Order: sequence, then structure tokens, then C-alpha cells
Amino acid sequence: MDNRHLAPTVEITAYYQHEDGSVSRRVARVPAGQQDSVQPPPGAQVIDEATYEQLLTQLTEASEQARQQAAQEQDAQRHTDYQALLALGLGEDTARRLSGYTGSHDPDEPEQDESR
Amino acid sequence: MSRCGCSSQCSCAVVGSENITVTGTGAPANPYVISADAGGALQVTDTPTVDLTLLGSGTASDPHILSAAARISGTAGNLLSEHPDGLAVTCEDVQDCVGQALADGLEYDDANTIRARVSGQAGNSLSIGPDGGLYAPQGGGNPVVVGDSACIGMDGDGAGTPLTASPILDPAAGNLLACEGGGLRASLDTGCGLAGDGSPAAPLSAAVQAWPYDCDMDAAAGGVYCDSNGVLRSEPRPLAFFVEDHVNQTYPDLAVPAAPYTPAATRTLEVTNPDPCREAFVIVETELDIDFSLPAGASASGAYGGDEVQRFVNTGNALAHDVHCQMTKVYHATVAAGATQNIEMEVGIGRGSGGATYNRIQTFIRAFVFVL
Repeated sequence: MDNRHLAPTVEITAYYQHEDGSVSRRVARVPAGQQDSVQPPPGAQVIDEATYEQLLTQLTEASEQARQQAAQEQDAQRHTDYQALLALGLGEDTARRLSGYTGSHDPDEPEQDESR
Repeated sequence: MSRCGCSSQCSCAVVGSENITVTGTGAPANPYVISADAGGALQVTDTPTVDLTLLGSGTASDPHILSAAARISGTAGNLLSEHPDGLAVTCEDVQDCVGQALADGLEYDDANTIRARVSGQAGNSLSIGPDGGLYAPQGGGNPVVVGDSACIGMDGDGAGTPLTASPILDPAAGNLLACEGGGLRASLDTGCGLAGDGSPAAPLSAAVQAWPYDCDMDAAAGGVYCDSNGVLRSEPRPLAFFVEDHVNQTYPDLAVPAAPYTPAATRTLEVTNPDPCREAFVIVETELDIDFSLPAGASASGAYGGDEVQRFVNTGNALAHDVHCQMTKVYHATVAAGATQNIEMEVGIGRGSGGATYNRIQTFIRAFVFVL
């Protein structure tokens, strides 16, 4: 089959580490012979895939820790709101719905929010 | 004088004849004496060819003197002549005489040579052959020397073998001329795309189909061209290809700026039009996806190309992680023949509040390139 009407292209995968601490995975499809057109962004450093995965894991874990910290703070706040609503004489269901608290009734053992 | 020694008389008998007298006895004292009487009776007679002369009386004191002279005829053409040493007929005289009598075909050069006279008229093939004899080539006339021209070959000598002329056919491929039974002929065979045989009744022409469209062919049809190798060419080939640049960048939870628009990343796709003749038509498709983390009450927006395409506000009372929405834009661009154009996609974020952060910006830039 004559494919001369379709210019051949090649796919290139590159990994970068940026000055702001981010990492990126780039997949580019370029015309054959123009692979050199894929240059790293300004300030970025080319890294290999293993390094990328390692740095990505670090970023992901750090983000996850931040999320867990925020979630714990959020649960603590919900529990505090829940207790305050109960103290105002509202029923447990109403207090849970208004505060969003889903943990145990024991105010000293707030449970993890399972809605996440 | 006696020589035989006779003493008194010689016994030999000596007798005289007419006009001869013998006296004596033969003895020494009386020897024989022979004497002759003077005659006068000698006569001469000339002949037609000899003139005789007789002088003297024939006596001892007047002896006869006889002489002869050749008589040379005075007839015209007589070659005999008298010379001091005798009569002579010289070869030169004979040659000159014969030379005067030569008729056509013979000649005498007065240098003692009589020979056949060869005509100097143009076209005469007669000559003196190597053996000295008269020679005329077989068939008569001048010998025929043949030579070939670039297109006609000659053969034969016109005598033993007849003269023939043959066309010289270029053996190189592509020569259509052939010598066949009916004579020279150039037979034209046509292949695909050609019609006719080159004759007035069927001139050679391009084999084409009828224009099947309702529109004006003169205005709408493409062209056919002849390239540097003599090959027919149509309009440039249509060309299509697809290029893209996909970046998935993960950030360490960066705060979203409060300003409405702050550039956060710039992504670029380089599009080169490989066609040296025609402008490329490019369909550009871009996608943006930003992951925000929004505490309760927080807000953030995403934009690209100066256009805010997403805005999130967490109106709940819980932290929202990885809030994102993938947006798409499609537009077209053109790239000049042989040129390269960078399609840029500037990603902006803004309207950050309430501790909003972003941890991922994913972009796609896709280009569908058509050169038609």
C-alpha cells in the first residue's frame, strides 16, 4: 500500500526535573528525523525514567502525607463541631449531618472519615 | 719457272686455250711461257637494279675496270637508300613510314614506339594492364567505389555484384524505423495513457477520460506537468500527518496565586510543513487538566491561552483533593510551505484562596496536519 501521503512520525518519551521541584513525563510524536525538536523546557533537567519514578513517588508520598495531615485536622474539626452541636442539644443525626462527622460517638476516639 | 727439276725437258703437257698461248718446253733453258692475248671482248649489261660500268680495253696496259652501282628507285615512299657502306633500309624509316599509316586506336610517338592509343575521354576504363596488354575491367566502365552515408549503406560493384543500397537502422533502443517487406516503416505502439498511432487519421494524443463533474473543468481541474526527467506529473501529493506533545507534570502542592491569571507553564508543539510548495492546514487540539486541592471554602481557576476555562470553589465543609476537569479547545492554523511554526499553550492559574494548591498540570497539544 502506498503510504507516501502519510508522513512517518516517531514517538519520543522524555522525563524532566524542574526548578520548582516538579517532575514531568513528556510523550511527543514528531516527524521522523525531527527528534531533535524535542528539547527540555527552560530550566528543566533531563532525567531517566527510574529517577522520574523515584522523584514522583517522593512527591506523591509527600502530598499524601499532607492530605492525611489535612484530613486528620479536618476530622478533628468535625468532631469538635459535632460535640458542639450535641452540646447545643441537637440530636446525634442532626449533629452528624451538620458537622459532617462520621466517627464514633466517643468524642475521644474520632474515626477516620470513610467518605474520602 | 720450272719447279719440278726437269733437266732438259718437262714431260708435263701445257696447252693453251682461246687467247692463251703456251711456249717453251718446260726445260730450264726453255721454260713454258704462257701468255694471253688482249681481248676487248668483255661487255656489261645493266639490270633494273644494277648499273654496271666497264672501263679499259682489257690489255695489260689498259685492263678492264668493272664497277657496279645499285639503282635506287625514285618511287615515292622508297625507303632504300645508299650509304657509304652500302645500301640500307633503317628501322627508323620503317617506323616513321608505318607511323604515318596508323589509323584510330594506334599511335606513334616518333620515339620509336608504336602503341595502342587509349582514349583520354572521361569514363574510359581501358588502360594498359600490368602485363603490358590492353586491359578493361570486367563489366566495362570505371570501377565502382561505394561508400556509406550515416543513413544509407552501399554494397556491390555494379558488375559482378549489383549495387544495392540499404537503410542503416540505429540499433539503439527506441528506434521505431524498420525495413520490412513493404519498405521502411516506423510503427508506433502506444502504452497506457496514450492513444493513436501518429498518423493523420489517428494522431498521437493523451488518453483521457471525460470530465465527469458539473463544474467548469477549466476552473476546477488540476494540472498535469512534465518534470525534469520527462515524466508526467500531477499536482503535488496530498500529505497528512499527526504530531502531538503530551506533558504530565507533577508538582509538590504549590499554592494557587490569588491573582486572576498567573502563568504556570508553557507547553509547545513544533509543527513543520514538509511540503515545499503548499501551505499546510492544521487542526490544533489542546487539552488542559489541572489538579487542585481545595480546603473547604477554597477556590482556584485554570486557564490557557489567556482564557479561563475552569473555576472551582469548594462550598462544602470538607477538603476536596485532586479537583480537576479536562478541557479541550480545537482551532485551526496554517503553516507556510516549508516553514515551522510553534504552537504554544500557556497555562495559567489564579483566583487562589482558602489554601488552594495544585499538584499536577497535564496538557496535550495535538496537530493534524494536512497539505492538500
